[in-house]
Amino acid sequence: MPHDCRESRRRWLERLAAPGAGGFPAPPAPGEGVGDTCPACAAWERRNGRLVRALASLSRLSAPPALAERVFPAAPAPAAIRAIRALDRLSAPAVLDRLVTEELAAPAAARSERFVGNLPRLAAPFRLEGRVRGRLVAAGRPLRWAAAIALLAAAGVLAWAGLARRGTPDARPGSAFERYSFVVERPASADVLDPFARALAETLGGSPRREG
Amino acid sequence: MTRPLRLVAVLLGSLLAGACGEGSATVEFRSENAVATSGPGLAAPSVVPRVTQHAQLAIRHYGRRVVESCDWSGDTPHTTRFREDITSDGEGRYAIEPIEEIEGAIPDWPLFRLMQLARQGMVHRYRDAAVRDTMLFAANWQLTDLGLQSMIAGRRCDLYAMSRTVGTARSYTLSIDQETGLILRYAEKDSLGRLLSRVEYESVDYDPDLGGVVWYEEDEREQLDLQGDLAAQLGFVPLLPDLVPLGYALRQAQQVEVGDERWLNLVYSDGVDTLFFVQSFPPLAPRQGAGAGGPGDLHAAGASDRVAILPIGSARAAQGRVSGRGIIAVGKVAEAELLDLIESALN
Repeated sequence: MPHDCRESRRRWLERLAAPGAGGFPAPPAPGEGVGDTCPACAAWERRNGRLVRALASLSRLSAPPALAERVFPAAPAPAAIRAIRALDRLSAPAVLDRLVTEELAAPAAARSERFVGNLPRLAAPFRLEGRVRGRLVAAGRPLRWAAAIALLAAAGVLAWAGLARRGTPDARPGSAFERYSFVVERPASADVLDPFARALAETLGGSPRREG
Repeated sequence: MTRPLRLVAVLLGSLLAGACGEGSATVEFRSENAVATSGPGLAAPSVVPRVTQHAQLAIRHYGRRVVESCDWSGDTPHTTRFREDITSDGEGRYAIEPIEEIEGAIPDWPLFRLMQLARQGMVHRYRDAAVRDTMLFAANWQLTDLGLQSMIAGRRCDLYAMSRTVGTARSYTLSIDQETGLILRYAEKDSLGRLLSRVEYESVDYDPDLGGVVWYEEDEREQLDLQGDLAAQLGFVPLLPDLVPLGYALRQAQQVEVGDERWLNLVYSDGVDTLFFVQSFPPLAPRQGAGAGGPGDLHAAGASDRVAILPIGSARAAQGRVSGRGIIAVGKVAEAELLDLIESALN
């Protein structure tokens, strides 16, 4: 049975219109509920899926306060504002005094205590590798083993480089894959980002690179 | 000048500036190109208060400016440019509206424009060059009077260089309106001197007609008390990174609601630039549909911990699911620094 693009997209939109959790529907997956789909429809669904997710992330805007004042010029101040105005003013907590005193008394010590996490990470010196290699040689290990290991390591690095260029997880020995307790992936497209992550990134960095 | 002395000088300058005003040297202006003046060197501490974010937001104006960002992560640089309007009443209200794309390099301009309209608050707070924390600025940055002048949008400007003195080198060149103090142009460069971003006013009006301006309404973000117990305020024990990039310090913790989800946003600063470490309020519901289970999926259920990391313009974003929690980290820092930040929060 030939693929009907119009029908496929209509059914996709029907699923979108169905009420979902939280009041905004999640976009159906490409081809979901249709059976099969053509490349054009898949691209159409991906783009509209991104659009739906982006729109769903937008916060709802409320009417500016000035509008209410214009509509109800004689209305009294809202109860919330009156309640806030009635609150007593609080003074700064005592702990603030203590922290400021400590900071002024010994700025260096206070900074060291607070920013110990900022200390630069030192890399192992290159001489260390030389000394380790020297110990191995001195211990009488055949150099051909070292050469074989080096060849294997080089082959591993090349294989990793080939995989990394295709956006697969980083399996480099001694690098991200082993150094971190999570798998590091380097996707080619910013589309994988959650709308909130994308908003933060595009605010700081600008628009992402065009694909292809 | 040693760092403690610089710190004291900047702080004293901040206190004195309001009372004493600005004492810039008079120089001869010759053309639209920057011209040299006498006496370049470390800027007077009283200049710093003029380039704080607080001071910039207090300048009433309307302007049209070009926003440019460069991504150097690929084989060739990728540059995007667009034009935007900014209106500020100098008392906290503002509107920032993207107008048009220049040269067509933005993948989906209509969507990007729509999202930028929704992000006016973040753009206003975090994007443009300014001193956001005077203490951290004094510890991490240096402001140098270049002894040059230029004309931007028909206004005479003094040129300053704002350079990072610790960690990864980064610098901004600022063109500051001599009369008003508004930063009319800035160019951000990396440690290799490559352009990362640039914002330049094409026109500016310091006495605009504000009638009919649709001001941006800020989202309500619950600010948490950093001196208090975050776990008690949140109702769960948050992930707190121990290893943050050099020069950065935690400055804000916010609860943010995006759709049905709640997030804890930890905002770090080095005095100028901002770094975000965001985590979901547990639990994060699995999501069905397009993209589910892809790289760095925040909503993947039962999968191993995975983090996707990629450059976005001049910034870098990491996103994934670790320890059963969705996490996002975004900043203008190296990949290893961003991954170390995440890892240190898990230990």
